[in-house]
Amino acid sequence: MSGLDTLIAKSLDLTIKENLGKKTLQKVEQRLFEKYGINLTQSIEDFTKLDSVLREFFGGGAEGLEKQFLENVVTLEETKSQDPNWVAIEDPSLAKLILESFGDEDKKNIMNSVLDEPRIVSEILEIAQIPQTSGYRKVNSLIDNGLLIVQGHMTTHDGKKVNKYKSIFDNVTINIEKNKVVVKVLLAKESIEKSSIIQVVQCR
Amino acid sequence: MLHWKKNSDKPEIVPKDLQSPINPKIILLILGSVACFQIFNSMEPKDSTKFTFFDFSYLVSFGVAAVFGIFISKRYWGSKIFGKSYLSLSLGYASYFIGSLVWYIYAVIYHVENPYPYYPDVAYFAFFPFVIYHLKRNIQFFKPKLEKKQKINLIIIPIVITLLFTFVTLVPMDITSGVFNLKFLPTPDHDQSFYTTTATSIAYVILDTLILSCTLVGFKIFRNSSLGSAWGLLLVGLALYTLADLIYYYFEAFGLDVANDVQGLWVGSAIVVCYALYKHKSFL
Repeated sequence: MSGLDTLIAKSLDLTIKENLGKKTLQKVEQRLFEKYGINLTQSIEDFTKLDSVLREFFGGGAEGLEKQFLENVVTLEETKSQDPNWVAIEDPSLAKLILESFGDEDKKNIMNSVLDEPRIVSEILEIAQIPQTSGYRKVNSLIDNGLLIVQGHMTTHDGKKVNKYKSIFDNVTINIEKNKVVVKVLLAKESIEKSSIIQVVQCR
Repeated sequence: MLHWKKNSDKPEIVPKDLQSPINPKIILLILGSVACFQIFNSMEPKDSTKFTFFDFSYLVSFGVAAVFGIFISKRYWGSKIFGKSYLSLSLGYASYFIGSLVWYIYAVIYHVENPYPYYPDVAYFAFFPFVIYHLKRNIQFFKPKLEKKQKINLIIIPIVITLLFTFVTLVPMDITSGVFNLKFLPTPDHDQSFYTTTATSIAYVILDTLILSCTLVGFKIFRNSSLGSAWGLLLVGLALYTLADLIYYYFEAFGLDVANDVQGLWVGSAIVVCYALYKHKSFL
């Protein structure tokens, strides 16, 4: 699952439960399982399946619901002068996650090391100058949280394939506007291309 | 700027196990009950100082719709859309129930002849914002950006019907020789109460047609889905309500109380809305 989809997946069941109730969430999950044998989080990997189930329940109204999933996590910056991939992080828990990641010196160095190009874990730790024990733990934490995504692989001399990782974001800005911390990120082109949710949405 | 790709311009086929078909037996039962109600009610001598079985049924039908709404709201309690919108709908029907109760108190106990416009209208008017909130909440959440056609429908329907109503109420005409030989008559001298009553009636018509157009937009959003039948029934219920109101308020403008003649439509409307709420609950 793409990192962006992992981030959005967390908001999925919360969005349905908060707006439509626990019973509706249960019905959607039940139908996903009946029809495709998957749960709600897994449906993100193939968003068209979730889209299909939501359309069975809500018809044309599924569009509004899906838009809510995305907008609860991110909102798009509509400034024409800016890259259209700049997004403001709306989900407070996601904003907190990003802030905590960049607040941690080691995690910040890890993220910085893969801003421009994907690297394998050992390269990341070498560039970031982090000991292996704590380094692997922190890299795994970033992967689990969806802030690092797999992009390509490298074949070692003994024929093993090792994943390369890249940051989901190309750039991050953190501002304080009217006593509110505003986190804006520039999504990496690859994270958009791999996101099955974004594939349902066309960018202009 | 992102926009949503229309994944499917064709209607989704709702699988059989998810379909929530309208039971024709229940529809026949509702139609039959309303027809019997209306026939027997029209045979009842008109006496606004008496509280008859038909008045009781009329009152109870709206009370039951309010209770149904509460049960649905409780099912989704705490949720921003379903919980709040169904609570609002039930409050709307509860307001109407209170308005009717107060109306009967004035008519039957205090012998105020045809108390309109009067204090009960405060509660009657309260029905509309609650119902409009219910419709608006659902439409805004599930279809934040309406299509041009939907926006036009939302505005045109209330405007056209209100203008027609206002025209036929205020402009006296003779259609005894047929619609195509329509003759306009001189405007008679109406007293102040005619204009007060007519203004109140027009206000009701505007609100009635607004909820009708909102429900139509809502139905079109959900029609190709499992919620389609619930919204279809809601549309029918509110359409019956609007029709009853149009007839009632037209004659009220001329001081004629035709409540007995349209009570069946109001009762039918409330029963159909109860069925719509049941459908929603049974499926989702």
